[in-house]
Amino acid sequence: MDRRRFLHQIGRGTILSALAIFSGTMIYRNLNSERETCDFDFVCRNCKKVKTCALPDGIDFKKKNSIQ
Amino acid sequence: MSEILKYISRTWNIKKLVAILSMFILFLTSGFPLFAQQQRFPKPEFESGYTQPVTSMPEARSDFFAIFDVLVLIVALSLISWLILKKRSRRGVLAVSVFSILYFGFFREGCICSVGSLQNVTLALFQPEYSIPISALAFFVIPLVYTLFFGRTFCAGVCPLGAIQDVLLLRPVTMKRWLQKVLGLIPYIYLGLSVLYAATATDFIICRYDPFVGIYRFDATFFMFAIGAIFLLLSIYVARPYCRFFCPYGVLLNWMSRFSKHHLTITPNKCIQCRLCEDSCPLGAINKPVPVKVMEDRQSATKRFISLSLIIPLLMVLGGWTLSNFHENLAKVNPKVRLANELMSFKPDVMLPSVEIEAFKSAGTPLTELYSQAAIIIEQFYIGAWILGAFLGLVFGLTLSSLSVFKYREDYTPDKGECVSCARCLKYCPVEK
Repeated sequence: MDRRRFLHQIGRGTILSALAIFSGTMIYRNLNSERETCDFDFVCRNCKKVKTCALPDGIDFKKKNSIQ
Repeated sequence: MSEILKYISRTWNIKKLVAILSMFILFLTSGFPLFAQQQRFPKPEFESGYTQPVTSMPEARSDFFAIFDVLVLIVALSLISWLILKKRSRRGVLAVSVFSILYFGFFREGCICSVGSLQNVTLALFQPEYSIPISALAFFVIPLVYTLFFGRTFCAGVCPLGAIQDVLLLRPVTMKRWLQKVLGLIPYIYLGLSVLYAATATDFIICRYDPFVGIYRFDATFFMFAIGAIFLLLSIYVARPYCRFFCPYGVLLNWMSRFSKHHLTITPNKCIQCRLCEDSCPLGAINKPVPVKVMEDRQSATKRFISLSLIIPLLMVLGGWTLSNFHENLAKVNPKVRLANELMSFKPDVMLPSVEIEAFKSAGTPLTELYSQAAIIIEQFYIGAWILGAFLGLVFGLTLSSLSVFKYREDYTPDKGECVSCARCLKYCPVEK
């Protein structure tokens, strides 16, 4: 293995590890988050989850549009 | 009439006709005439102060379909990587491109896309209260991982933004190297700005100014429609103008691709230096061989590279200082800062309140709270502007330094960073496996 290939392998390993750690952290944070989050930038009008939404924006939208 | 037809047939060739015809079809299909008609008459003025919303988003997907999209992405990436690296098929790449345009483009209306997911990831990194959707995270990470192993196969035909430009490239024009280098700096600026605005929870500028999303959704402002049409027209002659000179996600893919394990090769076997592929790449991403007699003495080249590299810290400080002076201007994009500015200059006796001011007053939030929030955001922009300026200084410095480096090469090889693995060069190689 030449030097260039060796350095590339180290770089690839480092990036992969960083991506794995980052993804793991984000997934862990998502799964352990007790708070409900909005994945639609609080645009309730088009959201399919609005009926079950417990966020203040969602509740407000349901009230205004009398959605049960 | 027959004379005219004869004249046309004498002076025009098929390629010209195809180009003109494609431009005509493009205009027809992009909904331009319909949109232009809509804009002919002024919109009605409602007394309620209602303004027509300019942005639209596709409907949110249920969890099952969000996972389904991720699966489609994985399948498309695996298939295109196999088609490029094993089958070496340009037709296969085209087929996947058409699928991506139809599925990720028109059916999914360009959302969610990996390019935009960069902002979700940034927001999740800097704002702990924001939980990134798993599908957005997957759309960000998976193409990067594939690029680390197989090169930019995502750009080749899975990205709907790249695919639509690629299929329209009919008459590629070769661009000057220096122009490519200069324009190639724009994505770094765009990347820096999009990260800054996402990190401060100000705006998702990549999505807001995506030129193709309006075409995919058949719904955008006239301005964005026009920008999209310009990019598509430009794509007929200039290979992938958005990917090369704007795409911020392309910057990350470029970095990843440099470390790729199995990248596309022009020749399946030993290069015979026939030079047939030399001008085959419309992106100019083929490295030509550097003969030994041209090669510079290693020691002097290293010395020059080091001396040039010494100016990098200087450029970083200069860039950081310059942009930090404009942090207040950059922060004005933030809605809270903008509202605070509006309220500061608002004179109730001579001015009518805007909708935003009325909404703020009706919410009953104390003015001091808004001002303190705006001050915090401006402070964040000050730090962010320093980092962004330093980053841009680093990029400029490294670009300058890289111009002085000549790597010795024996064969024609794709530039691993710039090559989008479109597989156009493959058919030029006469070498069989």
